[in-house]
Amino acid sequence: MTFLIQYWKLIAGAAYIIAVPVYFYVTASSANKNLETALETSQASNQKQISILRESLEDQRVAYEKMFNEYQEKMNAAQKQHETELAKIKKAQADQQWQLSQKFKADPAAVNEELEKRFGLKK
Amino acid sequence: MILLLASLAFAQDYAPIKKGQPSPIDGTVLTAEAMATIIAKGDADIATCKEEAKFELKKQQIECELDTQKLEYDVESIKKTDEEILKAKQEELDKVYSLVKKQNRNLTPVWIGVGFAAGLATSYGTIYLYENLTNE
Repeated sequence: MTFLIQYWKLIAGAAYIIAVPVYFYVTASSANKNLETALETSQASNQKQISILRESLEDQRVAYEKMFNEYQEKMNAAQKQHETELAKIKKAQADQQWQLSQKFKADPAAVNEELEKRFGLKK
Repeated sequence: MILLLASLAFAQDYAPIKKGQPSPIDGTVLTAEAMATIIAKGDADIATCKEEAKFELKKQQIECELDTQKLEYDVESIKKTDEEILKAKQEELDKVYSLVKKQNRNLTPVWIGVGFAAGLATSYGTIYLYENLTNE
């Protein structure tokens, strides 16, 4: 009987000695695997976020380039229009000058009218 | 004072004269061409000034349009990017949360039981083998 008790005690002790490392090994490896998976998930997510930002920057570059080209075209058109208008003014000035000089030569009294009308001068 | 005002009221600004005729006033005699030049230059100066103002306004308008376009685009772009990033972060959080949830399941009794059973089986097997071998 004593032998049987000793025998079972020995078996229980040995079982306990094996159970503890098995338990810690299994739980630790499970935790490591979970941590690894979490890190991989985080890494994949970060990569995705980086690619989203990169795409956004590229889209911005394209859009800015388009906007700037449109702006440049509008500015050039406005500049051209301005130069055309200035040329028209110069031509109109030359025409008016010639017409007035002809008018004043033909009718000196017309000068008096212009001086009174334009500048309010008195004879 | 009255005399001064009277002299100003009746002051003569110009006097038409013919060539060789003495001038009734002190001043400058201009030819018809010079007179025409002064008048036409005045008109042209006014027109140029108006045109310059119009051009400056147009330039400001174009610049303003560009700024507005840029700002509108920035707002839309930032909104879109933020939404996508938030979505990615949410996915990440969901995955990590499910892992944590999985990790938190308490399997201690199961593993202790498995370990104990394995230990028991190993020890029993060893002793059984030892007894069999010694009996022989």
